[in-house]
Amino acid sequence: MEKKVRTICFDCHSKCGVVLTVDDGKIVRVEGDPDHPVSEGILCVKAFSAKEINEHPDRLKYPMKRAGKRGEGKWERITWEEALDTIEKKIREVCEEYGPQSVIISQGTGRGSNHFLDRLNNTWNGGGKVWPTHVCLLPNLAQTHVTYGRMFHPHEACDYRNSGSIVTWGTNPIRSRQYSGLRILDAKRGGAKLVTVDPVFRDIAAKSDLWVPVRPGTDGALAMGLANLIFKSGYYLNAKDLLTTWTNAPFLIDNDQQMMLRENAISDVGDAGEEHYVVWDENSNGPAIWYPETESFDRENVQPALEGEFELTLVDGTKKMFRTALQQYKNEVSKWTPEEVSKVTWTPEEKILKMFEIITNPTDGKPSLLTAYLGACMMTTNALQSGRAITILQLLLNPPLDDKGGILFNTFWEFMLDPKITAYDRVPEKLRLGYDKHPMYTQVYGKANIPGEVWKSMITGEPWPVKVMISVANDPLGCFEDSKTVHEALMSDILELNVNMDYWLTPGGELADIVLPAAHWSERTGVFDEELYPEPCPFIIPQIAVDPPGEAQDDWYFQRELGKRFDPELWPWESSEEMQLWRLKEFHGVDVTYEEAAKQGYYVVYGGEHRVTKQHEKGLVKFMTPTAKIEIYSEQMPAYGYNSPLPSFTEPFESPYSTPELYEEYDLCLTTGGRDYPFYHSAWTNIARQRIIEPWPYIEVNYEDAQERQISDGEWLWIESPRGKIKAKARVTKGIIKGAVSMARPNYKDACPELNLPGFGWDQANPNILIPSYGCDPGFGAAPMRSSLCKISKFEQ
Amino acid sequence: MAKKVGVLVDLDYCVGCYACQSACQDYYQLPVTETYMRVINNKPDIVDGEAQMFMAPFPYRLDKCAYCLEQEGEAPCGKICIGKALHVDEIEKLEKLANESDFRTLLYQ
Repeated sequence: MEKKVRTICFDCHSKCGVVLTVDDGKIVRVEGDPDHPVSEGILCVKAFSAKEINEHPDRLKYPMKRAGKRGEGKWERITWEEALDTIEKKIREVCEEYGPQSVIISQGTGRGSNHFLDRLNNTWNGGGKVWPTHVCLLPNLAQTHVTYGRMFHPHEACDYRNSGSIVTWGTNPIRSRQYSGLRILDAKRGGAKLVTVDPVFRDIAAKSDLWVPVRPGTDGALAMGLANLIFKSGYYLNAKDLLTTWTNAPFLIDNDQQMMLRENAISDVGDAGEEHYVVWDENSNGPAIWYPETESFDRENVQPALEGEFELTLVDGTKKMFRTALQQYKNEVSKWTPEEVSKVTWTPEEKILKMFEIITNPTDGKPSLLTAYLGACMMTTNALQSGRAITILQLLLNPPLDDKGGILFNTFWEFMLDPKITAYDRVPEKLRLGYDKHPMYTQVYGKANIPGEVWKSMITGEPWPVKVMISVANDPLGCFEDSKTVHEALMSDILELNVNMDYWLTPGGELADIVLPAAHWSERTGVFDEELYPEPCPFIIPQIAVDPPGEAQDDWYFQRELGKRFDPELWPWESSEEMQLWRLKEFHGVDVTYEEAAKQGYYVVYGGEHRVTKQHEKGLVKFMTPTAKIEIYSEQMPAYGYNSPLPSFTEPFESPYSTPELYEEYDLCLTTGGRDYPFYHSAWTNIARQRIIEPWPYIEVNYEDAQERQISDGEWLWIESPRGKIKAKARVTKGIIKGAVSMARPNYKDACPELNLPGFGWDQANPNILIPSYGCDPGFGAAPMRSSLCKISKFEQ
Repeated sequence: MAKKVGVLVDLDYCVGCYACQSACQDYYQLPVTETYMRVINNKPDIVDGEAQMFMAPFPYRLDKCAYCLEQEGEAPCGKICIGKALHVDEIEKLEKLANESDFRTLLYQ
């Protein structure tokens, strides 16, 4: 008897709606769900593996504990009870002897489990979390938060369909979040022009009107060069109202101090004036004071000058010139002529000019949008400053704020970090490894441990030992940079209990002491992260379609069962359905039974037709920056260790210009991590349906670079960096900037027996072997996965 | 006699993502090595100094497309296409679509 079940594929963050046809307990057909408000019925290849994954013989079916030495490969089946008993006992012992900071929980990309995993982390008041958020998502969010004072993703919460031009900047929405790819292609049908900035020419570039190749890690220079052209042409004056009214662009700055001018520098008002700022009022031809606390000036009818330099008298009687923030930025970017940009980014000048022409001439005068979400500003030495340059460039293009065709303020992004679900309020502040190293990450945005410091503490026991690690939906050997160090850490005796919950026994799982079997999306309910959708943000109730194999359970089961042993009040639920309903009620205000919710399928409480526009004009959204304005000029950046309150360009830590001696040997600019259709991070290379599409690890090599090295398409190459050596097949292409090479994200760890294809384990074809944890972004610690140096050589050399 | 069925691809919107290939494989429960809708992703080329790339599905068996269309009303491959670039229909209707479009199309008949 066939039945159709509505659910969600969460093999990646797109979380597309799926309708599975189930017959006699088995999946027989996979279809998209046209009712899903975000995916609208589209699917990619990954969803079609549902049956293969559900029925795969290698699925973990039972909890197991290791029976020999760690990594020896000997396992003994145990019950869930025994597994949970062992884990609980060990955590209690460790918390008693060493403190909760010695228990670490890791996750990978995190889908549907983030909030409750955080809650588990915080259940024993430890907050020991190691996530890849130092490289992914958060670097982008942190700089947009510094700028806008809101946690949302302006580079993604864009109304693409109503725009006139879209730049995909180091990001490929067709592969990394299909709902945006869908909307961008729809925008193209509506006449919008597309531009792709990327070292590599892929499908998104092929559908764009212009491909702008850049040397990996140099996007900030391009963004500043475009800002310069926008200033020189006067185009920025279209944004005069936006910049003057909603940003601190007109605020006077004291550039020597890298600070905005304060009221008490020019008036004897004492401490009160420390939090008040100064503009030049064109109406009264003198300074006016801005009070962030009341969001008002000290007088009526102030017309702040957007640019210029003005003389003011300080309290000690001396006179000094002060520029507006915009004037300062205008001056600073003036050196970034197309010629100078081209020298740095290796982009032909005419392409820079063509890009400028397109973004300043959007079709039908509709808005001009940039998306760098999961893009250029994430994984380089200059990640956040590059991101700031792109974010500010977007503002200079005069996007509608929270309105049609523009950037949308999705305020519910804060759900992700809300203590009501994450229990962050239980976390002791300073107990994080690397606390002072990258404060913007450990202390503010990530509230997590620096991965490199976690491995160090497992190896050395300093500053305190990590004794327990629990990985949920994470293969640490595939996830993090500097894989060799991760391996050494997981093998160390200081780490006494290593737990890994996954669908399979991954290379990371092979080093575990206990492995737990996880349920796949067709086998579970309970997944949200609705805040990661752009607009609308539906809350989804996926239905269980088929049974998981053996005793596999969803992540929430594990989190709940372990959590309630420590704090039953924090984990009052008996089922994942209950947890789902709790979230729906507490965060969306919808109080229904599970049957009603399942029937409804999707709730769009925020967004869609309920969406309020221009919330900032209605006082519904405030920019929670020190100035209560969108900050073009941010004092927070130098406070976090960056070299300027404005965007700036720094060479990647390893590059032809920053390390010329190294470049003599490692003569190619390496970018890694690009998305492939059939896989997702280090997963699915064992799935025949997916592996058949890209059977071998590959490295994209420029056609001319290949010829110079006599490299033929498909031949095996060694790829080496100062960190290590891996292999991949050459993919010779005209579609990559000369001097750069690109390795996609998957590490091909699994064999695929059905296709007789080999696995490459954790270290043979894993780009993360080549990437260090140093050379990262200073304030945030974003590891340089997208810009480092390497060399390639033929196998027989 | 049933009208002849063909396949139209909007070349400027196909991204070569293999979803249609997978959908066809799934619908017809074919082994993983086979499909009636094979996606061809060529390599980037340089045309007048600009990079370009050809990608499109190729329907080996239009009779299978016709059967599928008759059974389903709308081909599953076209339904899931991210670029709305794949149309399985009567050839007359596809010709009309092609003539009305101001971008490049490829008609299989």
